Amino acid sequence: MSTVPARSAGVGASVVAGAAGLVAGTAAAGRGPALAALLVAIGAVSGLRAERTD
Amino acid sequence: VIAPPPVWGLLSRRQSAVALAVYTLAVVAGALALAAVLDAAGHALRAPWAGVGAVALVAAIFAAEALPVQLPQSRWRVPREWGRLGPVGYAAAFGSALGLGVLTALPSPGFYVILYYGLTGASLVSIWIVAIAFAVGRALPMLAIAAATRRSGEYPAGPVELVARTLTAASPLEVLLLAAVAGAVLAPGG
Repeated sequence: MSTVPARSAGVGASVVAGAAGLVAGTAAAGRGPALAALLVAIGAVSGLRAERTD
Repeated sequence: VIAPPPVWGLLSRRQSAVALAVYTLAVVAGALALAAVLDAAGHALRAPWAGVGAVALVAAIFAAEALPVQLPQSRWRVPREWGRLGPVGYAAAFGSALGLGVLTALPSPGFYVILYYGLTGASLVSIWIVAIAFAVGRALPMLAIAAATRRSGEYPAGPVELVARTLTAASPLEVLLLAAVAGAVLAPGG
């Protein structure tokens, strides 16, 4: 099983996602509704991810 | 454990449905109770708004699993002995414990953002909305697995594994959302 490459790929995908999120978030700065939607989305994803078993 | 006992076991179809409904409502109730506590604490603390961005940034780093350490979290688990409460009582206790979020293992790094947001003195309604989103997200995998259980009548090993793998693979999505919050709050004008 190649768990190390899989983990590296996962971290790599997360780094790309993080960079994209920072850019998108910066562009949305000062927009209250956008930030509110992001917080709600984090709430939902945080709840979902709570049930993972990794 | 991804699928606690309220979903299956030696329960009739009706008992299972009632237990599942109670579990779902209890998760929501637990999350709303947490939101109310955070709101009360937030009105006293008025945590700085910029902290939401800072916490989101740190949470994004942890969600990316880029560090070989874990965020602090509770090691407490819902005791199996609570099963003596009966299917409905156990579902209610289990659901409310999970809905509160802080009693059991850390749901995910993003949960810290929810906690901090509740301490900023934001409106109770907005905190409740985020808490309900958390509760719905927390209850959904159970509902999906319960639906699969009803179809097969056996332990749904396949669906449990599929849900677990899907949620693990959703890590980049969580990182993206957390980084977006960090950018939106910490950028000039945020």
